[in-house]
Formats: sequence, structure tokens, C-alpha cells
Amino acid sequence: MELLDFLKNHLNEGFLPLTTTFEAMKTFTCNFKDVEEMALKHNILPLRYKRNQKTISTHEQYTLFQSTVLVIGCGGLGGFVSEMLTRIGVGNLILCDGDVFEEHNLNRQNFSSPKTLGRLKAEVLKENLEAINPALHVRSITTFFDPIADAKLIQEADVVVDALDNPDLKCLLAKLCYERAKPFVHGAIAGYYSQFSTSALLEPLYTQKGDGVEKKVGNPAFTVCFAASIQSAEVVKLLLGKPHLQTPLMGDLWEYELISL
Amino acid sequence: MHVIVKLFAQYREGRFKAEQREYPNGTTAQTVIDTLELERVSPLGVLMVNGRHVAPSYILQEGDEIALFPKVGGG
Repeated sequence: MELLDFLKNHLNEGFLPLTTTFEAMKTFTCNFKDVEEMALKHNILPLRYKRNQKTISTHEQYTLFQSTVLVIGCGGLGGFVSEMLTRIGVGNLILCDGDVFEEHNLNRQNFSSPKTLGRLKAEVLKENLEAINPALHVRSITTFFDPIADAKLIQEADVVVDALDNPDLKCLLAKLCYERAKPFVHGAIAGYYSQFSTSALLEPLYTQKGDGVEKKVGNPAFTVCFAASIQSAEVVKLLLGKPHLQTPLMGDLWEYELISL
Repeated sequence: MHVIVKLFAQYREGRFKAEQREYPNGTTAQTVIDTLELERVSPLGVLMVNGRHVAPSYILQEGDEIALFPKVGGG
């Protein structure tokens, strides 16, 4: 029996369950990703995406599965953006960060825990994300963002996510993406506040050089997760060719306002 | 001349959200920033006048609406 026939004969209410995927891997000597690819290609939705379905069609799910997203920075924003992209079904992630988890990251950074202190953030994320979704392919780059070395990574990605914590580097990454016409999702936070823009240069948001107000007011978890959600929504919209942000968006969790500039 | 000044995020703390304020002719956006001591709170992020991004050297006109956001750079 061919793999596809096997899958069709072992569905659960029309969805591909994990048990069938594991059985197929043994029977046909292939990996998890191969099985999911065969299913999605033939309009069979893995059961894990059942609750995506009213929002994301099976065809769109296959588009996400084939997509590659580059996340630069694996701290607050990068940790939650990459988990959301993993759960929603983006197939390939490249995670870039040379930093290790430290104790002052525990208030907000996904997958930081007393056990992971001192470990490279990009590697810890890779392990956890692949455990969540075995169909996912993650490449961890354990060096800090470097405009020359990372230009190649930008070319490989369908969308680039700015999860850096330095305004000058954010501007530089936006410029690299803009020059290459590469879809780019900016996000930044400080205290109760956040800002976003998609596929645009960032100088209008950073009139002056140097660090922002986050150095004084810090980064609480709720602002991190809020900002990561908006960035993740933008990434998915870009990958699926849906309408996305056309002007910068400023988020205010103190007065609960979203302001389009 | 009258100018409407709108402040956002941390710039509001101890100041105001929006106010009509009186400035002498020839006042620049930078002067507004300086008189409100905004840069003691944070470097400037976004500066807009009447919904358009402008440079701090922009000379304000009667009835202008200036909006000021602190710089947000955390990740």
C-alpha cells in the first residue's frame, strides 16, 4: 500500500492523527515531516491543526508548512513569536541569537527557566519548538546578528522578524530587508507600550540614535506576549498574501489604545 | 500662536495627553520637546506634525498639531 492510501485509510474524522503519522513513519521508513507533507499536499489536515481550520484553510496550512521565517533575536519577542509560528504550522524557522539565558530573563522570556540558565537561547528554543511540532525544521544560529553574514539568511527566508533589542540594529536590519524587498515585521516594546511596522524603513520611528525608554522602564511579560502576537499575525498574513500593516502601529496597554500613524 | 501638543506613553506621565499651548512665532518642534523636558524621560521616537513625520527642526505654524512618542526599542 502506498503512503497516501495508508493515511487515507487511517484518518480520525477526516483528520490525520499523530498515531497514524507514527505508524506511517515505521511502515514506510520516512520521517514525520515527510508524512505531514504528503498529507497536506493531498488536502488532508493533521489533527493538530483542527482548530486552525476555520481561520486557515488546509491549502493555506500547506503554504505555511512550506514557508521559512527568519527570527533575529531569541529573547522576549523572539521566544514567543517562534512558539506561535510553530503552533500555527510554519514549517521552517531560522533562529538567530548568540546570547545565553540569564536570571533577569526569567520574568518574560519563553523557555527560560532555572534549568536553562547559561544555555544558548537559540538552542533551547530549537529543542522546545521541535518537541512541540516534530514536523518543524529549526536551524539555530548561535551568533549575534551580523549584517554581512546574515544577508544570506535573509535571502533564504520568506519573512524576517525583528526581535532584536537594539534600536540601531533594528534600523539596520530593516534597511537590509527593504533593499532586498524582503517582507519584514518590526516590533519593539518598553513598559506598557509597543510599536510595529511591516516592510518599511524604521528611521521615522527612531528619530534619535541610542537606546530607548525600555532601559528605564523594563519589559513586562504581558507587553512581550501582546507584541509577539501582533508580530505573529503579521507574519502569517504576509505568508498567506493577506492584507497587512501599511503604516506603523503604536500599542498602549496602559490606556488600551492601538494608534495607526 | 496656538499649537496642539499630543503626548504618548511615558511622555504623558506628570504632563498631559493633549493640550492647546501658546508658543512664539518661529518655534521649532525641538523647542517644544525641550520646554517639556521630554528627553529627560526618553530619547524621541516618533515626531509627527498634522499626521506627517517631520524633523525636529520643523518650524511650527498656527494651528499645527504635534504628536510626540518616546523611543521604544526593547525586544
